[in-house]
Amino acid sequence: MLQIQRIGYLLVSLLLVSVLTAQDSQDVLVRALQDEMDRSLTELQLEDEPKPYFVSYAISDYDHLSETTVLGATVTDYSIRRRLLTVTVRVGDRTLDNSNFQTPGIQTLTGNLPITDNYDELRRVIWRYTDQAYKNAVEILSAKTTALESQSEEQRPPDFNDVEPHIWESDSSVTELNREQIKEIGRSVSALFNDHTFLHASSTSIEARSGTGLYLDSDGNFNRSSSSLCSLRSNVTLQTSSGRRIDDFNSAYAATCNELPSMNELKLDYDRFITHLKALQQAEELASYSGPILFEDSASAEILVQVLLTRIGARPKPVVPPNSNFNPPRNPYMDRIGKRIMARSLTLVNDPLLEAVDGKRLLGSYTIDSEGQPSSKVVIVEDGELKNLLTTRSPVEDRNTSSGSNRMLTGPLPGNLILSSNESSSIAELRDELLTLADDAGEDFGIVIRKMGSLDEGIAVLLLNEFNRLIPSLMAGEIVVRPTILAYKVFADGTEVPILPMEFDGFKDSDFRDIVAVSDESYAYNVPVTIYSLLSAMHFNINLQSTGVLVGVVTPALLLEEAELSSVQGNKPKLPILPHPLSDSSID
Amino acid sequence: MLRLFRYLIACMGLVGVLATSADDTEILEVMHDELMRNFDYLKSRDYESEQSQEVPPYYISYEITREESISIRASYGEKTGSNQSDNGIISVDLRVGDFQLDNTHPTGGFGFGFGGSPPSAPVDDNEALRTALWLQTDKAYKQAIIDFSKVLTTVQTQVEKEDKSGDFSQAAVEQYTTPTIELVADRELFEEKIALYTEQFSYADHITANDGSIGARIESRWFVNSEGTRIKVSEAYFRIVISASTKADDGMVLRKSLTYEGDSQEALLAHDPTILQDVQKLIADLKALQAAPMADAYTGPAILSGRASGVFFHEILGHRLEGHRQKQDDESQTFADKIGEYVLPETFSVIFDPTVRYFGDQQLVGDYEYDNEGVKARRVVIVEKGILQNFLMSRAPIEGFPVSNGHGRKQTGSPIVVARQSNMFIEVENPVSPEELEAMMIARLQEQGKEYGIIFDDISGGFTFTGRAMPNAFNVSPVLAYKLYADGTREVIRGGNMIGTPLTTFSRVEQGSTEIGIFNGMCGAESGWVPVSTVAPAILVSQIELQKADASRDIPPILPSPVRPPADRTIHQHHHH
Repeated sequence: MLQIQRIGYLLVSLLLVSVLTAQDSQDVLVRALQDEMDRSLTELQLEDEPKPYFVSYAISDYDHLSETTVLGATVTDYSIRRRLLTVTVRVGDRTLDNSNFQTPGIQTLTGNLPITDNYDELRRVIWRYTDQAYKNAVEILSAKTTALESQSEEQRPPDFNDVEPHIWESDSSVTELNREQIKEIGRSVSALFNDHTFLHASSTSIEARSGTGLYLDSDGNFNRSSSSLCSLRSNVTLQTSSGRRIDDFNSAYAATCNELPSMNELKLDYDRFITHLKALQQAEELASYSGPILFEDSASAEILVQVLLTRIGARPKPVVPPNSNFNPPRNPYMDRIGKRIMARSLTLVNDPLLEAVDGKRLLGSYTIDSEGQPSSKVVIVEDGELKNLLTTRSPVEDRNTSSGSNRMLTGPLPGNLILSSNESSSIAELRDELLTLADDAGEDFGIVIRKMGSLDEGIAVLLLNEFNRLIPSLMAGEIVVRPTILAYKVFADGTEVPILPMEFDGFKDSDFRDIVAVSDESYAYNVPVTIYSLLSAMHFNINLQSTGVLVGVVTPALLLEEAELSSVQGNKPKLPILPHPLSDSSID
Repeated sequence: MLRLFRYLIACMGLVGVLATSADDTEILEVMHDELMRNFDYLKSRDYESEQSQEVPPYYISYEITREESISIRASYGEKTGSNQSDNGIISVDLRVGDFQLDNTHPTGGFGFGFGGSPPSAPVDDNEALRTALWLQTDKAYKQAIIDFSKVLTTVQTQVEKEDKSGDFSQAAVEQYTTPTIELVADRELFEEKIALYTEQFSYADHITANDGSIGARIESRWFVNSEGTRIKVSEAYFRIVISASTKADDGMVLRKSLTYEGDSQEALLAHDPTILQDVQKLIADLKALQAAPMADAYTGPAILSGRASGVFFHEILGHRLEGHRQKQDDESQTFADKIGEYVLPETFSVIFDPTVRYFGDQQLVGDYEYDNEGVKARRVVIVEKGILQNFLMSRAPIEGFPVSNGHGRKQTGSPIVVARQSNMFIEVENPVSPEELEAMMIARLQEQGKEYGIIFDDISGGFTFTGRAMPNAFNVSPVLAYKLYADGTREVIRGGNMIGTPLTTFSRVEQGSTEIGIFNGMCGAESGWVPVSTVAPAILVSQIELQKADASRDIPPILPSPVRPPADRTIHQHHHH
């Protein structure tokens, strides 16, 4: 009897389950969030302290997997499934609240939610995090008020702006991660390095992430959409015959692993990569260079990102306690609106709504930012003149509206940067111009850079001490431009001679005023920029994922009138003493 | 239902012993070939004609560790996440010079742990593996040359040491392989179990946070050295951890946890029948702790439960028995010259035995078959009838103890191996019953004129300083402690740590009881974190010191729980079945 009853009960619940759609199950979560938000706004209050005036919940519910392979063999394989909740609580009022204290922006609280849809248990965890976030907010507001009292009064913009509520839901579905297929891509790609014994080490990682994002706040903003990203990266190390160690990388990004280039295309791409690496082995060392530089291929996208990323966003000036030794630097572009920051022919637009260019997907595209604001096209530079900066819901001086650029809750970041020019030349003309300028500088060759080091791509191979050196520079607002990887001397007869990595002697943002010509063809790239949001995240205890943020960049080749380069010093370990186990000839 | 459930477990158990022995010998073969190729090449070079300081190696070993794991987490009965990982790591030990003086000779303090990510081992492809081994050997050789030249300089500029033992000792050649254990776990069953265990917390209003995890880890190690040793071992660690916390009215967070271990899913789930009861007890203990008064600073007699005394001996005695500490200049060398002397009462013996895997039905995580230097694990009597006899030895000899006794251990990826603890057994002759032990403490109360004594029931862990630069103190952190008054009444207290210095405290250890407790934990030192166990009786210490614990003072949540109070909810503990 007992068993029959059980079966009856099971049948009933099965029927119920089949009626509930996936959407409905998410609605349990939405209801739990909404109910706890409502209760917090009306009842959450410490004696003698203000109630929250704003609460937001952001949910990231995802599957993540990553696999690292070496020469076709797996070395690490990791996967995780979780649902992260990020809570923001604001106390005080829009004029003065707990944000913008010590660092620009607001501290949030992140933690795990149950991945099952049990209303009670979701409520319980949301309640806990909201309680903690509220207490933190009260504490910060009190410290901020004290700091302000000890300072002479100055005109401050409000801390948070008012917005029209924006509701948006995408109808795209969540992509299931096909574990075996994804791992197979990683293994096959890493096996492409087999037989290339001149490489000391190679490792290939494939990471895939897929899930749903959900956002709601007490200003009435609500959005829900699926998101996914797949990244394939190989890092290699080789040593030239002169003993110089070179770290290089090759990567491909796509919204899903199915959209990565086909295995045949990847094979061609990696063949090119390995050919470049072989050429690098014989590269010449150039002690120093002062003259014109032509940025082609991914190098033009990288130089734009590395120079501009920390410049084109407006961040509020935080209140700093009187005895603090950290004073966040002021973005020099704040004072250059209306002034020329690039060559007169150039226009730079941030267009997060652009999804593809010439069939190439731009992975910096997004519809709604992490504050629930619609993304928008912003003309940053027009005819060389700085027009606008990217903004968030934190007003900065007289900028009171958000451009929908708060991509990671860590401050303004661009989506897709499109650089265009009203004067352009063919690549051949650019080369001629390069040589003419080189001649003026007293050189019989010019330099073309086709690939540069990337802060993000480099994280895996950057030595710990180098990383520690770069972080403070970035935090102090300095521009960090990574050394060249593929650079060539170009001679009048068209000969190209590869040169070893060189670094810029103080690249300045004002150097972009000296772009003398650009190509009529543009390149589209997806540049990973997780490091830049990570920098801000370090202040805010924000849980960032390693498969992070990409900026789409569409840019022509750039010819810069003059820059100074010098050979990268140090890092010349001895060549291997032991012969390679898979090659017959001894290297010794 | 119950029968079906048992049957399932039995099936899983059978599936869990699949072996893949072909791969094992092949990996050892590849490692051996690559090791000998590199060793022979380096030995056959013409060193006479070179200007450099290069010298040939006299010893090389390779160790590859592969860790596969899965884990599932839950809180309040709901799954909060899961993860899975698989990871291979290479370690190379390459020594130049000779057994007496080599590149590993200490030239100044060791740091704790290690930085950077250790080199990866691609175990499922022979060519990839050889390439990785080659590169690491080349790196290790270059580093060894640099280190050795530093050692030579240091030795010349320092006064001669009292301890004339060398840097490395001879060890027997070992040949041993066991098949790789396959990670087989029933994820659905795991999810169901951990949800059920943590669901109990949702009926307890005072629980402010809880977390449960259930998981499995398979650690397989392949070891070869230039002396001819070839070892392959594989061990399984299945584990359940359930922890919960509450807040006292003053904001102090009180945390308690339960752990269960087993070397298979079946062994782990053998604990299942008692877990719900244990969780209920944990909930009740936290309720009692929440209402308990704060501990006052105290000196006087105390009883340490088996688990508490295990951690106590681990900290104050165990760490000071690790061989290398007897000759390092910056160590206080508490026991270096106490061999043959009484260090404990005549009735106490201390034995380390990594060959024991189970004590009763409890897995001891400090077990292993071979240590990280390829030396066979063995039983070592350290203290016999109160007298110090031996030290825990790796292949770094000390005066009077020229060989390893199989205690050279490290965390996977750590660049160094040092002598570490394994399974520690504290044995007492003529133990008394727990009641007699309490009676003995009450007698001490009267002698010392104290109102109450302390019973340490459960502890979370501890730490100690063994160096010279710091006072040689230890700290054992109780989770649950009681005051025991002369009339036999008990009162729960919270927020006290047991502190003291080793030699004084040893002299106050008086008696052991028949109540044996097991503590499984992770122990951290120079060579990283290693699993260790203690098996110890409850003991009476005539005098200990209790210090108020540091604690956060966060206030309790402002709003009441949004979840209906427990009274409105039906408790149905078994609905998952």
